[in-house]
Amino acid sequence: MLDPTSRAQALARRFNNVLTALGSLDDRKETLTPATAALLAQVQDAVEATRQAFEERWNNLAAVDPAVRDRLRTNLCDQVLRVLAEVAQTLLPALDGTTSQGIPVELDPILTRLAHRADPTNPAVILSSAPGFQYSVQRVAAPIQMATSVTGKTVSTTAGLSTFLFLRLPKIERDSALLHVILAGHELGHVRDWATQTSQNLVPPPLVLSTGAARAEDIVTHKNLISFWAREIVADIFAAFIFGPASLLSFTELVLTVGTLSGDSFTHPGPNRRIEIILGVLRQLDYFDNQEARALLSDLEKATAGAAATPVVVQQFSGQEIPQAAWDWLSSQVPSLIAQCQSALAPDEILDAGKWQEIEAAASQLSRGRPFGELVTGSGDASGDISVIPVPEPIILNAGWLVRMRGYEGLAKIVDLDPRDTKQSADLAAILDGLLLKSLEISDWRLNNAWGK
Amino acid sequence: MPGSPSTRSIRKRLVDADDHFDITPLPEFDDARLGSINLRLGNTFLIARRASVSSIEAQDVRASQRLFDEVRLPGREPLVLQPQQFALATTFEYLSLPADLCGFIQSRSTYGRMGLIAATATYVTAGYHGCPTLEIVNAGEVAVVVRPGEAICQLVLITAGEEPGDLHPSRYQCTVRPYPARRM
Repeated sequence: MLDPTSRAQALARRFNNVLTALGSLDDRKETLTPATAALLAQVQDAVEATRQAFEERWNNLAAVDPAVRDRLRTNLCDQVLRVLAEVAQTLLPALDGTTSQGIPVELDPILTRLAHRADPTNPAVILSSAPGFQYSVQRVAAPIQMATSVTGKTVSTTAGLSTFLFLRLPKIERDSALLHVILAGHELGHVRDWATQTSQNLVPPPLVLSTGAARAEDIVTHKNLISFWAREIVADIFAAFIFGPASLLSFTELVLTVGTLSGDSFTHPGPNRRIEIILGVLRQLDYFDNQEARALLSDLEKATAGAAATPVVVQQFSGQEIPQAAWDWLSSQVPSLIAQCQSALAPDEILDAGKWQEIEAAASQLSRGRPFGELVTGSGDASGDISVIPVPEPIILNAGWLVRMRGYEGLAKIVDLDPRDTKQSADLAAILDGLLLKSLEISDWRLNNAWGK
Repeated sequence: MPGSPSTRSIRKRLVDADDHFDITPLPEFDDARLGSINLRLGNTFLIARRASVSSIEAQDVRASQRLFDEVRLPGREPLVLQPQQFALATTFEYLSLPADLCGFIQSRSTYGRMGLIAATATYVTAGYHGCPTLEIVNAGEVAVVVRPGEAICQLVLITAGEEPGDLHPSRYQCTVRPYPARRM
């Protein structure tokens, strides 16, 4: 098994399997978005080029002195394995998750537009579903480049060389539009953070421990904790500015689905700390001056008051002095991070409480069992002026949360379902999510006049 | 008396925010005339499987649900319907009918002449909200390509004399995707 020939035979089998899997995706090309089709073409080109280079180099080594040939062939196998591992572990699952059984295809153009607003380099967006209950975002360099480690030269592709942005959502939540605020808000908040380098620009202070000088590994841990936690906080802040209360409510729903409000981890500060920060942004946006908006937030305000001052407990650490020091410093930086995020956004991107009336109007339409993706004003007379404008996504999604938080009033009557009944409330939630996806689809269609006239 | 509302009345009511008659996205005025409104094809399809189900009984709702595979097309990607192929789809437009209007959805003649039946006079009741399900069959001899966004059918409106309090929600009320039979 360990000799190069056995490894080459195993790799040949892996190549075949990978190419077969890519080929089956190719068979349903008509259901792929242009970005996914470009990714698939690049991965196919990369794998094919790697396979050809592997065979060529393997055969060329036949003429080399046997004493060094095995070592060189083993190195070659290692290089190929890294390419195949990247394909099998990252690229194929993402491509596999792009089927319409797993993603809300209506959101794809919207998320692409929002991602391009967050990142002016316009990465190609791959919306993909994954098992489990996680949302995530990952930037992936043009896959064709990974082949160069084996080919030793640039590999050509017809698919373009753009960077990709993988946005993942839980497959079982495909149509949960209310929850997908996390994707459009927090996950794309990470993209804004990468583009503005807000968290990356933080310079942690020297670590001072009660036991004396910090060890090198303590300093690294302290720095990593600040870096990981800052990324999450900055993404939360961007999401709160752009999506207002919906960012908070979707985050809380996700947290309560998979765990509890408290509990820090190595990569994420406790949800209660994050909620308190998000509430701070919403307060700054005047939501607490609006009685109706405040009613949505007051429970969470009470539940998380003072969370920033509670002791940090990260399960992975036996002593908590380093995480506590990291949190103490990072929490002192929050006002500055909020100011930086706000200044990085255009005024029309910020959803403050001044938009509340629009949110109420949209919620009123949803409660009547109607999508609200466009706003029609004017007269229906032949000579009259009619104006039709798309409703922005943050308004639609906040309106959805408003209907949900008010117990589906109105909508329940239209569809004759009882929100107090568990089964029927699930049906109501699905109907509301459908109305929201339709609203978002219509808004995007109106914005782009996608089908022309 | 049942009849067809005038073009002027349809257009006026569609832009009146207080009126219970609504179609979103708002149709182009050219698409709403002489008592009918052109409707476009949505992007979600339930394609009937041919091989895996030997037969279904109309009373067996679960069996009819197993008959289909869902396909959602991004953008305006085409769907190819082979001869005799059957699929469920919806209109792209979301309809909200008031108590005084009901209607029928029927194929547009352009498609009918290619052998494509998009709707078999599907009745839309007064008070209905949603994207009506279309039962599409290619009854022709060659494959037909359709794309989301094509104005494949039309809603023919008829005045109804229902009182708002007498309306009963359809079992498909407020749905935006095609559904196989839900219950008998």
